[in-house]
Amino acid sequence: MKSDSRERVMLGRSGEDIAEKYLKGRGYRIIRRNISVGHSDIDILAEKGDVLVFVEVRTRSSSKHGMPEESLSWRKLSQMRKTAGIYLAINRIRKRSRIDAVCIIVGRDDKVTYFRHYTGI
Amino acid sequence: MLIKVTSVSFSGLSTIKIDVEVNIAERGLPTFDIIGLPNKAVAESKERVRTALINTGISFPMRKITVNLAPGDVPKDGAFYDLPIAAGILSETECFEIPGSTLFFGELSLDGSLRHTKGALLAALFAKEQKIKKIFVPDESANEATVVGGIEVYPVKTLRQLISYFKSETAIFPAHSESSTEKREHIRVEFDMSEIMGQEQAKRALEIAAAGGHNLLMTGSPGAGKTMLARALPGILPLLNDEESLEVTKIYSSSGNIPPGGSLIRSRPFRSPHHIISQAGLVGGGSHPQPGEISLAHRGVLFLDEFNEFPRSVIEALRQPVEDGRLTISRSLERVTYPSRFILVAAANPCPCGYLNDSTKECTCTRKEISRYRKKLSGPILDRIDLHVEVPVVDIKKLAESLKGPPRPESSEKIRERITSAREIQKKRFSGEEIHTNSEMKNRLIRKYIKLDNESRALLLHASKSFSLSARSYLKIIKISRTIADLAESEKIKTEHIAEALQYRPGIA
Repeated sequence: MKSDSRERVMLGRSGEDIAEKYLKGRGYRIIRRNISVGHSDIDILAEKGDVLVFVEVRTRSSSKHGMPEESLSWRKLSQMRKTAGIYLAINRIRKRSRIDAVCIIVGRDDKVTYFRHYTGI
Repeated sequence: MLIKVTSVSFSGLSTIKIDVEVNIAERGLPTFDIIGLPNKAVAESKERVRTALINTGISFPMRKITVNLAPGDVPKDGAFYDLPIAAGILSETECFEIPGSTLFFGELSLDGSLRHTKGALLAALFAKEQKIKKIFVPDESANEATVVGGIEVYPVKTLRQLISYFKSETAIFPAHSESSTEKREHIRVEFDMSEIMGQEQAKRALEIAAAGGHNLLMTGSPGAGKTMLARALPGILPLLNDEESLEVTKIYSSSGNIPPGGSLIRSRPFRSPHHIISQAGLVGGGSHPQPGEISLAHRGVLFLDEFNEFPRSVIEALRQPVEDGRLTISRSLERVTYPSRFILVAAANPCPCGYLNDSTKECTCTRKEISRYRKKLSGPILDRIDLHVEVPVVDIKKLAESLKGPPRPESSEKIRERITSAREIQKKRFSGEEIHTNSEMKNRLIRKYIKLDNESRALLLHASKSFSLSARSYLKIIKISRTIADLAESEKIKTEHIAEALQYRPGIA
């Protein structure tokens, strides 16, 4: 059980690394990673132009139990909106912002078999 | 990419065109939404379509799919939007084009096959009316749809079959309507008139009821044969003609009462709801109004056994449909009219114990009990029933003797011949009107079509004075006399016809 959850965290980390690399390549400036707001957290906070971007990274090791997108339920989305709102409020940030999602499947040998970037979800 | 597929929406028996717009966007988080006022059955289509596609071996597109059922202000109900939605999505993922002038209709099963879906006949009629050439329906509902000639009905078994058809890999052959010889299916009747011994007066009343479409009340002791007589009535009614068949089948199709593979209904409906029926069950209702027993009995017989056990409110709801031959159900969102032209046959015991006026058993009821029992029956509904007849207990000795051998009573088929010719006479009489039978005549038509000679008029006037008949009773007697004269193939109403008609009115003995 313990090794399982450690593996899950490792998978998440590697997914976030891949997403960060991708975003940098697309001209995003990475501000911070893994900001915890209350009991939820923001995977990547980035900036492009004058828009603040909250990025949620979803990583899976296979599509056996469904695609990573399918875990982005309506409830999760509204929770992300709330978290972003709280972050903006406590830091007194008045900027245009949006929420993005990056969905990744990392197969064996850390090979990326699937990658999608959804903007403004 | 936006794909448009044509389908249909029902409101009672009327139909409107629905454009099923399927948009599969390149951008955005993968979602699958249905908009356009779907109810629960339509919204659940999402899960059926997704699973059916996956089980057909097609990967469901991970894209933003929006399905719009236009016009957006009409509430949508039913599971039949599965097929048009699936066809729209497949045309994008499997790269085929949906030809114009087509209509899709059908519910999906999770394994990707199509299920028998209610309303296929209405969808086909709508397609014909809109000059749509091809209609795709579930295989099991195809027979029902082919009843409508002039359009091509494609029976679809599975989604896989539909895909290979549109990719021109395999063919689906349009279903053909059954040939006319098959159509004349044998009418099944529970009882033949020849099986019923005695009861001459009741049989005669049934014959008059069948000929003129009159309503009938039978009162008699338990075991006298009221139920048996009522069940024999469909057998002496003339066969449904094509127009009537279609009317009946439409109602059955819209309420899902046609079995899988079923086709046009040819035999007269016989409905006998139990007296615990609710008002909505009898006359129809619901927030999305469904036809009740009175509409399912359209062009046939509605038999209400133990008539005075029915709740008062349920019986009272019968008044308008009995008079008008149709019932309009109004709800906040829609107003629906179902036809309900049926022959009402009611049966009741004369008193709570059942043996009043019985020759074999003593009645144990008090006067008070009887009058209370009668009160439940009294009121305007009784006045609307044309024929009242008493069904006495059959003499067992006679019955035993008659079982030995001939002569047997007349068969249903023979009686039906007489009734059919009486109906022909009526049809000719009312050729310019909207009605078919004498019982449907309103005052204006009575004045127009019925001429009494002096002798008959005098008899009728005398009778109405001495029996103090109501105006409605007076007119009913004229209508019944007309039917009796038609059965005798007499052009004029004679005094003997009026004399017989008088026997069937309550309070005259």
